[in-house]
Amino acid sequence: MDSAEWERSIGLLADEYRIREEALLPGIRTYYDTFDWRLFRKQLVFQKVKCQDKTELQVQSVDGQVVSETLLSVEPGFVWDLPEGALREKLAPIIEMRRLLPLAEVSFHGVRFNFLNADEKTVARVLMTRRNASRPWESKLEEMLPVSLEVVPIKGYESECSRIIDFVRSHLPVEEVSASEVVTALEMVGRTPCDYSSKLRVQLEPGMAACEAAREIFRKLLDALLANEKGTRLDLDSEFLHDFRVAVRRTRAALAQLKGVISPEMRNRFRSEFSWLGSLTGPSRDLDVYLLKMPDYRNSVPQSARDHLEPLTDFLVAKKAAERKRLIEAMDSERYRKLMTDWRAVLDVGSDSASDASAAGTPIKAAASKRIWKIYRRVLKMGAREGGSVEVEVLHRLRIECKKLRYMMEFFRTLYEPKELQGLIKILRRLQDNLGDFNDCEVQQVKLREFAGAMMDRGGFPPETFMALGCLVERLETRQAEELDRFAERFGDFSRPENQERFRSLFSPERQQAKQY
Amino acid sequence: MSVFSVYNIKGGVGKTAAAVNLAYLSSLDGSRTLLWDLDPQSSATFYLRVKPKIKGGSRGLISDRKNIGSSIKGTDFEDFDLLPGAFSCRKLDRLLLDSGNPVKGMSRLLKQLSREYDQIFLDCSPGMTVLAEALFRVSDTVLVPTIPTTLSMRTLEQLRKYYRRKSLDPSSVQGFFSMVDRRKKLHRSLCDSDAKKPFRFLNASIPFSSIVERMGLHRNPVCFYAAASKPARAFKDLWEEIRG
Repeated sequence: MDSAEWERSIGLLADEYRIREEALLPGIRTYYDTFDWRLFRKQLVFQKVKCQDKTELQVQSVDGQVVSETLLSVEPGFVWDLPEGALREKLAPIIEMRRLLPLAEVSFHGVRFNFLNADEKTVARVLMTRRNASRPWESKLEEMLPVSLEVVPIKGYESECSRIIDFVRSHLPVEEVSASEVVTALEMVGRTPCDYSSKLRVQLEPGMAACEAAREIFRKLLDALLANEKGTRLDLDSEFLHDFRVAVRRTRAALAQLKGVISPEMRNRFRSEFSWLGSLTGPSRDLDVYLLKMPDYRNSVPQSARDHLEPLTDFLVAKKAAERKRLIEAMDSERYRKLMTDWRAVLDVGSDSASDASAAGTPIKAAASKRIWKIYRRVLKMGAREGGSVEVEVLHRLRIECKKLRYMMEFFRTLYEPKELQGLIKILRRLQDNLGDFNDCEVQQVKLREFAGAMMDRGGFPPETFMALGCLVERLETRQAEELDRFAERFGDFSRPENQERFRSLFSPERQQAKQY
Repeated sequence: MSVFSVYNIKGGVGKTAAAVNLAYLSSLDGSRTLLWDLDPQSSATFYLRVKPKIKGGSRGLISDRKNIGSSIKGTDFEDFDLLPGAFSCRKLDRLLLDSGNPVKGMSRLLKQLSREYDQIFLDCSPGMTVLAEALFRVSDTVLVPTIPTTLSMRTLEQLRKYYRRKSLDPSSVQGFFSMVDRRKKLHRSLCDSDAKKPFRFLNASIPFSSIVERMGLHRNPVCFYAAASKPARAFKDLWEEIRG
């Protein structure tokens, strides 16, 4: 339906109602979400509506109900840049440290038709809006959205509204839409909601050849890595580098675990190259973590010491800038470019380069279960040995084994009964949280001492800052000791006979075979 | 939710014009606003182009809990609804009295409305009625438009005495001068006088103006059809002073 068609048809109602036309101000609506669609996954939409010199920020549900709004002319970005209030409170737990990025822009220009009764009282309104969608920053590439017609009821005049809806339905080639504007606009500008998630999901079939399954996993990991490349380079928010790094680490773990599906020479070469890439991203990520932890750090030292931690923030920001420069140089290097193109070529070409290894033809479920079962048993053994007195060094190794186990369970997630696998991941996660927190406290103490040393060498920092750092290290020591105390209980839980039985039932090769017969 | 009653013992003091314009200004703030036309003459209802009709009459309002919502009409303005007046409103007084507890009856009706509205304006009928007393007790603010004349000032005194007799709280009452004609010496002297008034008086006053009188022709709030006019500006000042 075009607007002329509507204007012709509307004349047919002129006998019953006087119709007063009112031009509305044009405006631009920009839709935002985080890179991993945190709002959309919660059925929410963030939008900035600019109409003349008035700018409004709104959180809406996908079906158009306003959840929270504020009048403000700031460019949406991080939640901490928004003014305190309901809107910020609503967003904070959902988007956390992620930046709101513009996804689609809709320019709109509307006309309102007021339907008046004999008393010239408005009894219904019809809003006709012409809209164009474009990608933000590329407004020249506009796509025309269908003209929208909205019949707006007025309280107490519902029957008039129904009559107008009936009229529109019977006289105009309209299509009632259930999808909201944001969904249509995203589609028009070529965006698919939820097209990225930091959760890895590789669709595998139990009978798939191991090498084909491995290649599928590697491809997904490479896709995730490349999806985060631009955001990492631009440092849009800390999670791009985090997800980039996770993709590298998962690739390394897969290369180490999925033996026999890629030729040994290939495996060795890429293991070493991805290890290089992992080590490059480490320092920048560490600094991101410390900067994100600053509010927690402030809260964990006495009130009087809080402001003295500020020089640490400045120090970390400066250090991060230097580390990022190094990272970008590496990402611009020939070595990085070659790693990406060669790895893609290996995954695309497939059989020639990869399937000459011995285990390549084994069905993936059998191979995966065998591997997972082996790591699980190793974890049990290591932890059991630690039951009494715990050696810090072994806890670190146990943490790494648990991580391997988790990666493997996630890579092959789709081969197992989802609910049962999710349950086992949850059991493992509780142990991992304990081991992770223990390790974090350890690493942070080492790092903070290192930062303090570097700050001391550089000079110019007040003694109060070092005292505050001392407080912080002491607090971390206490927390680490608490985590250590908790280990025996967490591991006991993890290795309870019924939990062992659940792992056995899902992954043990004997059980797998028994199920087959 | 805040409840404002616009009331005077006397009629023809610019009560309805004030109620319509103040409710309209409240809706412009983005507050969900309801104007309840309690006057059997239904002038506010006429000004807003709504038919003076209540489902089931005023008996329906009192007896049927659901009825009140279904009688409400949206005005031509966003966030501004009207509970129309009707000739049957004249019976409201007696019906409230029959219910045994007029204050409780009104409170119950307002409580129902409080879910949907931030501000409720009551355009009250003149006179010392059972309904008026109930409204004095349930309103957060009683706004009293007063023409600066000797007789009008006398009615204020009467109201003050009434408040005393009924042990009502006079601090919720706020008077303001209405239909002020500064060409008249008496108007000028009463408006400018520092003499103590029976109630707290707001600084803003509404001038006598044919622009306001034309509300009956325009059938819209003055603040809508003559937003830049002197009386519209006076209503804005008055509203700003009331909402604080």
